[in-house]
Amino acid sequence: MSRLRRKRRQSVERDQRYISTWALTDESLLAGLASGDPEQAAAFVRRFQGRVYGLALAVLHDPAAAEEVAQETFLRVWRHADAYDPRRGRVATWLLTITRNLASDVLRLRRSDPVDPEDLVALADPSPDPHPEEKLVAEESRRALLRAMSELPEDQRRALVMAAFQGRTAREIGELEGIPLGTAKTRIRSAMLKLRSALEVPDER
Amino acid sequence: MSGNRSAHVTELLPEVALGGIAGEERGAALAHLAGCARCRRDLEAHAEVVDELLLLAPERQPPVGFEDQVVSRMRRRGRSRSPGRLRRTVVALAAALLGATAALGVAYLATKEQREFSELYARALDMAGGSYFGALPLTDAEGRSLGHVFGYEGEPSWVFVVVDSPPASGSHRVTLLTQKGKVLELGTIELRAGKGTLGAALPGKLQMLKVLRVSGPEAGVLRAVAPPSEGEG
Repeated sequence: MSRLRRKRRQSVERDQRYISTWALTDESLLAGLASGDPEQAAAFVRRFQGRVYGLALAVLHDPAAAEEVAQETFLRVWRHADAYDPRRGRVATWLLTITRNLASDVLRLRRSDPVDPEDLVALADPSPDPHPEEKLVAEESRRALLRAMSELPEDQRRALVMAAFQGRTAREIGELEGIPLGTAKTRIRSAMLKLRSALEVPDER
Repeated sequence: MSGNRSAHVTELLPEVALGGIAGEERGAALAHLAGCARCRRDLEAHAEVVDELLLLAPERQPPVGFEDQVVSRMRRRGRSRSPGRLRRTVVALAAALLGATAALGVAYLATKEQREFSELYARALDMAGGSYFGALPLTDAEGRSLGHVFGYEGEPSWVFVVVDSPPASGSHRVTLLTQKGKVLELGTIELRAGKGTLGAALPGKLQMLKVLRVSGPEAGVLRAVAPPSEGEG
């Protein structure tokens, strides 16, 4: 287990001791959502709607389309809740991955001018209401990541943002940026390695 | 495994973690990962970076009423379909055939091309007295499309399952969960380099299909979920 994940788990355990009397974990809410309990479904949506809608809006820049993508994300999570595997990541990132995939499908269907990646890089707003199990570590990680992103060469940052948030493949990035496929791949890989280093996720080889 | 191949796959891992790799490259990477614990750990580290990146997305509250709309749609979809609602089911499934654009409420029915498409569709159904033909995506837990399920409503009704999930191979079980909660075994798909197909007649109407699952040791669980009939409930 990496240092980052270990720290996050420790913070979760610490937080859960404080909040267990009044708040449910993300996994508990997901289980409630899967069970069909309307109150727990509503609680699940309330907890994540800002993040899901925020990501969809950042990718699409269209409030109506973002709202539809956000709704479809929750419906898909509800239908596939039994397929969630906590070993593969947190509920929030699973949810955001689905949001990203749906939003990128819409982008491809529209074939519209892509959102300027620099707009997406303006992701620095701290969460107005940090989720309990993340708040102790999230800010530290967020700051490290934002700092590392700001230090990336602009072309690498653009490539990474297009891949991570718009779901673009290296081939699409190459076409959009007017660069060879190999160059697009190199930019993505270089950016990822720098962020990984900044987050102190060790290479365990 | 040669050192060269290992190095090549290592270079692909950031793209694998970002979900931006497909086809033969994805197949090669996943085939290597299946037998290389070191690369799996490397991939996990990249995936953690991607997770953190997604969490950077700015929070924005959706319009008032969003939560109620989502829960309302869940309620509608959660109710079982009653007999005799095939027409509405067909309309909903046709929307699924048109894909995500239809889900976004974009009107698609006005153009000449689409009217011609509708006529072609009707003539094909008339050939054997069928009443509907449609398709659903077969997706993994993260919503990635890794195949399709085509369905026909007629005598008999049938489904045809197409899987494209490299590099999985071997025998994968195909089951159908009915609207009444019964599980039917449709057969097995032999995947080669991730590709395989299965056709099966259904012991009833197509609308019995609630969820079709393809499961096996390598492809994991893929699912196609029938949309609800609009206006139910």
